[in-house]
Amino acid sequence: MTVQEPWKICLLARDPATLHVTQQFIHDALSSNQNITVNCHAIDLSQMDNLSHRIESLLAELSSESVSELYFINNAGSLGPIGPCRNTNLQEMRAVLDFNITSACWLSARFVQWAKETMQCPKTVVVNISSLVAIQAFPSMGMYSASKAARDLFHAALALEEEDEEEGEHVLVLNYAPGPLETDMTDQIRQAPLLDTSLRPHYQKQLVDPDDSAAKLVDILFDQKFKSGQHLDYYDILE
Amino acid sequence: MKVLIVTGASRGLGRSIALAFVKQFCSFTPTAQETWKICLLARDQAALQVTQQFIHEALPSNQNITVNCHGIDLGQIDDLSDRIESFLAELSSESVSELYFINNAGSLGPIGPCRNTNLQTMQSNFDFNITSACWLSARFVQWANETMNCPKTVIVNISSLVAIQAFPSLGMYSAGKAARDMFHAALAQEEEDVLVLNYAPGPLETDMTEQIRLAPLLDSSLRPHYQKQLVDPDDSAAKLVDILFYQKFKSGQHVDYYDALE
Repeated sequence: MTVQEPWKICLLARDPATLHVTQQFIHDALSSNQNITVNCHAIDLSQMDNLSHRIESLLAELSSESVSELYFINNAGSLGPIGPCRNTNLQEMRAVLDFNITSACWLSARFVQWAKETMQCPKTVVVNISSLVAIQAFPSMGMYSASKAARDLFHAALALEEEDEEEGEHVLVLNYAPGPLETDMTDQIRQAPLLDTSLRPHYQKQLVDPDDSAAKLVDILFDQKFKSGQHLDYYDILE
Repeated sequence: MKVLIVTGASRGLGRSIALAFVKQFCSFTPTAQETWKICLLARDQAALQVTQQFIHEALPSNQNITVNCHGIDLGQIDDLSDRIESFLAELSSESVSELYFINNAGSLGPIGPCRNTNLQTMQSNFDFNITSACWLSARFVQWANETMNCPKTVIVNISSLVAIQAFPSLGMYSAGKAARDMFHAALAQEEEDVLVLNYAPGPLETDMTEQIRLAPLLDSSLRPHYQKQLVDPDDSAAKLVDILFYQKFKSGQHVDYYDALE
């Protein structure tokens, strides 16, 4: 790490305390490295009325130095209600889609716009955390599926639009389905009373360690083992 | 009675489908057990009444078909549930032996690069094209099954090629259609006794197509496609009605106008 390549790591989520834990883990992993700054930004990405304002502040802070590479991992999301589509509650669906589709897609769009138009950043990489359910429907997961499908198509369109390298500015987009992980979200699924019975066995077993999935994603990004706009799954075999 | 509900029936494909459906399904003389109630939903009450008039002209002296117009802004989420509950309450007075719901109402949204996305525009676009549309299918299935014990329910989601394939400058429309397709595919898996079809009508000659043609930021690679004469919505509607009448689909399937069907 030379002095020309400082990294700014921006962690965004609702909960500042747990962001700080992540920040601490990062510091522990990379001791005495003064060229990496890790900042925590507690933002409720589901609050539409406030979102634009909060993000513009974040971008204003980031705009003070030139940016040679931007990586955006668009990961925040929620399951929404697990159960039959027929039980859909209108207000609940709107709130779930505000967060999982609108907020998420707008963030990718805004960061690409900022990187290219404000910062003339030569390399921007956007990763949409997708799911198998983005491309295949499962009973009792209709709302989650709908939101992942919407995100995938939006990011695929973004990839097509940003394909041409204008004045040396590349934008790469990846839809990454991380596989069935062992996380809080998975426990939510396991405990959902209306999870379709056909899916229960699938969640009874030990699933993928998120660290393993993360390592695979990072490997894909580092060696650029993807085509912009592609949907890649943890279980896909890559050369 | 049998019920047909069509959203966005005030013009374009919605109007074509309402007409084609009635001509195919209601053309024999209905008996007292086979009365049809045709419910046309859209924002524009006056245009709905034109559709209603076309239907009356297509089926003269047939007293067992009632056509009602319901001027409802399906994009107004705050109001929607109340309006639809009133609508369902009216329908609940007679038993329903068949329910067909053509989930057609939709809007293009802004045509242009994803990077220009406006947060509020996207939010209201998805309120209409995803949330409202999916909730309607869900609510009608729930009502048909739990309130009316209706033995046959058919839900058609008007889809698009862009639901399954991305195109530059159509990102928001694509996202909305993809979400609807997945939701309806899950619905199909959950509801053994309900038939669900995702029907992509092909590139049509309608007001919506004119919007696309006039969009300054339509990707240049797509312009040639819209320069030519496209599919007559009546032809696409006829194909859909044929598919429904002869049940030439598997529940949950995505069928395109251009697909060859046996």
